[in-house]
Amino acid sequence: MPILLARVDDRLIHGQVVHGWGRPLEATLFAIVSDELHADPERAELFLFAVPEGARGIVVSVEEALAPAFHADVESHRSVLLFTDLATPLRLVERGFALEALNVGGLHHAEGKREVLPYVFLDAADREKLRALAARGVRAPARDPPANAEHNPAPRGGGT
Amino acid sequence: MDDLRPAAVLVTHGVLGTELVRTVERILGPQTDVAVVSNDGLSADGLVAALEASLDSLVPGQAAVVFSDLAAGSCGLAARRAGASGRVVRRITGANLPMLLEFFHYRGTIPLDDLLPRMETKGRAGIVSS
Repeated sequence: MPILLARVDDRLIHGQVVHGWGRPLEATLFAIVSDELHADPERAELFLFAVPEGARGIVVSVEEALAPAFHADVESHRSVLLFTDLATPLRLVERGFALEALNVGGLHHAEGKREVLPYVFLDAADREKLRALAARGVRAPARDPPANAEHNPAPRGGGT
Repeated sequence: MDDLRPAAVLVTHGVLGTELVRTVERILGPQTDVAVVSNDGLSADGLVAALEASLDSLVPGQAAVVFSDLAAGSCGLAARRAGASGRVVRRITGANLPMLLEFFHYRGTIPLDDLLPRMETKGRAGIVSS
């Protein structure tokens, strides 16, 4: 089965992901792709606490995400992929990971970033990554819960 | 034991915490030593930082109870991750009005170790289906 949802959300597995997306999608695997969390199992464990009953949660590094074993794991489940930033999915796609769409679900306020939507704050580097994803055929609309409308987080001429 | 009265810090989605405190105050009267942190616009790390800043702003050494709404959500997670700022910090999830009323009514009159299970009992007892 293809990936049901790939989402960039700096809150990772939380209410909106579990209840808003995970339930209607009947997700059975929540896979966080993050080198940082993979290197910090104690912190990773905290984020996996929110995995709902009946589903499995894992944290993998970028290298692991590119391996055939991960691909097989994802394909055999109803999978949700989660990233904390735009750099990670871009790294995956640049190395051949097949991703058709990336839901921009939450990139919250940080120094130097400007509000695009209440849940999306971007800087010039983020916009560049969105352009690079688009150039590789990855749609990346912004949408928080599925009931809300999609938005283009980085329209042309939208500034830096 | 009023000088040992623990503070409350609510970490919740949107304005839920603010409204819960407002409702408690309508019932019990104005409260002090209470802070609210909303997850609005904050990343996971940003929410932890905001919660820690809120705990840091309390009277040094004062115990605190961190109430969160959804255990398996950004707020519950932040409550688990936040450092204790050198004070006793207890945590409880699933914050609701019966639980909060129990806390605000009895804090400072019974030890925190006894109050926490009472709050949990009251919170659960307030859920009745028919």
